[in-house]
Amino acid sequence: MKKFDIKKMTDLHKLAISYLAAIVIFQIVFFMENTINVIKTVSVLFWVLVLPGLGITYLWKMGFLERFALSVAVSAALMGIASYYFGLAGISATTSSVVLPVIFMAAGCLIVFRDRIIRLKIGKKKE
Amino acid sequence: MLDKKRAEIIFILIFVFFAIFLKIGQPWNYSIAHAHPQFFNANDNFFHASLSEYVKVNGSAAFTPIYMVGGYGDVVGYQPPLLHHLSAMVSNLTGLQTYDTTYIVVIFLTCFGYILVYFAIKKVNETLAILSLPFMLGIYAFAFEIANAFGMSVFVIGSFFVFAFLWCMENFERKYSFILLALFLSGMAIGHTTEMIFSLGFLVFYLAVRFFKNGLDKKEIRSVVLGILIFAVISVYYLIIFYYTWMKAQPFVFSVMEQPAFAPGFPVTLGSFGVTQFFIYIGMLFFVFMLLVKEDSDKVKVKAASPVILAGVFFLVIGFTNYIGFGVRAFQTRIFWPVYLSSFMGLAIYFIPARFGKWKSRYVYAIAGLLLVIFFFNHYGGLQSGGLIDQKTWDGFMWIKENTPENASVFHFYSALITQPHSIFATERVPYYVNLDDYIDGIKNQVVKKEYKSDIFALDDTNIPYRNGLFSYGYHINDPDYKNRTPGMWNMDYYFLVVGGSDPNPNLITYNRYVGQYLLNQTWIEPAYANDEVVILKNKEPGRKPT
Repeated sequence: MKKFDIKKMTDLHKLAISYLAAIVIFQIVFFMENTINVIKTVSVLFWVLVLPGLGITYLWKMGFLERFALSVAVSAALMGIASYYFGLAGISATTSSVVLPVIFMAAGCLIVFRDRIIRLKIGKKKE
Repeated sequence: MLDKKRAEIIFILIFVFFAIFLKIGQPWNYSIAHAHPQFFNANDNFFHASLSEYVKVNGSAAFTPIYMVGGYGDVVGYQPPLLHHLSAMVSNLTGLQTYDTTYIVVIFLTCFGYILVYFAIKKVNETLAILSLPFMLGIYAFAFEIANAFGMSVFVIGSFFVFAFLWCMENFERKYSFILLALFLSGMAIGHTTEMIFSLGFLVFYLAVRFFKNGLDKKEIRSVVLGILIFAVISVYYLIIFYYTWMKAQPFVFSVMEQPAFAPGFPVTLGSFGVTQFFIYIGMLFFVFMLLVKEDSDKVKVKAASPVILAGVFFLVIGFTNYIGFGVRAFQTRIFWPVYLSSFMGLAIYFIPARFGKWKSRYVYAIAGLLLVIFFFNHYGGLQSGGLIDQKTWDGFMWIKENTPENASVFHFYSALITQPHSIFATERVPYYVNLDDYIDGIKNQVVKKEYKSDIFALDDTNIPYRNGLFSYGYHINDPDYKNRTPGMWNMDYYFLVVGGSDPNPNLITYNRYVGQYLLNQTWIEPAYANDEVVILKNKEPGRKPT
């Protein structure tokens, strides 16, 4: 049987494991709460306070745990500030809670895959 | 045997688990969703939950809720809005109440703030970071927990961005670091502006140290300038509001404050650290030693002039600025001394073995793990569930919110919550309440008066500001009729009386029953809602008085 190697895990695997670990920690801490509520809470915390800033952290090299902690700070700043200004522009916090993470994650994807995008563009120019 | 990487992951996971368990699990009775606010022990808990609810329902913090400012509908949203937006979004998606999500967001961010400081120290020295982390959980003293227990949530958010800012400063040589500098300073500006001011002070202090030590390179200066420019653009809108509200109403004046106004009797002092204060003293001694003897600094592989270590010195000093006029802001900063000073406490353990030998990884984790367990059990049982409000009173508040017209005037007779009037904001109606001196006078004379004097509760901490233009503000507190805005007891639409439950002044609750009966004796007043503790009466003919 093949041995599980932590070094071969991608960040996507690590993100999935962090999500599961967060659910386990929350379920143990809030053992009086039903599991659906725990999953919902952790999922929303990831949606609002982890994922929006994750992509931007790929501007720098660092370990996953450090990246995760940094993405929480970046997400909190991005989401809080953007939602405030969206609110002033008449877009409600309810809309922001759905739209903003999508926008920031899309921007994050551009950062994560910037090398591939650049390579693709160069390849097309050569053709 | 565990390798170093896995040991670190497990260690951090245990730390996060302990922090969440102690700071939110315990006081929340190990559940997430609650039927009424839990662990709300002061005005500010209710205040931030109410503002989050307002943002959730109204979509933005452009204006201050009308019921918080005595009925004025044009008061600019002057409270730092970042937390309220985050809480509103989390509440919207989870379906949890904003009084729950406000605290969840605060604790979630704080935990990762600790981890960012850990990684900032790790940049200086990995072993030092591992030894410092348990001290962030720290020894239990209620003074350290007051920020959460008394609802200083926006201060905690501001501090969280300070932690992130320290990580950023520790990694400032990286390309594009100005983005993070701009983001975190903006987070502070819109999260809790005091921390932004302190952080800019620290930035100047750190750059001055660097300048006199090695000189600054052009790249770094360019990054700082660029970061501050972007931050200014992002935050300018709120900073203008901040200037015309908080800074105008509460300008800096030289003064001495000996007890924190938010919790007299609970100031954090170095003595609050108990035995761990000696780790601070020893660590600072080693720090001075490293500054003076470069050879030792090299030998132990710790750069004494690192941002995260210098921040310890800086925020220690800021904590004592209550003696020159920073008042409650200085006392608030002290609450996070366990985080700012953690590197000194870690240094106290780290220095000697590192100077004369070499730390083995298994001993590092053994000591750090032991400290973590000691601090965990020191905290265990420290924070209990409960709070100021119980289910029945909350149900009464919610009845008002859901069943009365938005402009209804509600008159609150005595209850313990009148001393924490922000709690009444939950009704989303302008809170009028009985003048307590007049009410107590009634008890003393053993009479139910025909009419009691009434007061209005409104946030006047920034003089109730409204905007005439971007740079032009007026203040309702200067309005000629500002002081005479209570319509009087008989002009109210509803009366809210607490007639049961546990109250520190049971005589006043008994008196409420007599007053309630007197009101019900009037033909134009009828019961509208009642439970075991609360009675709400409806006045069908506001303005009519008994003959």
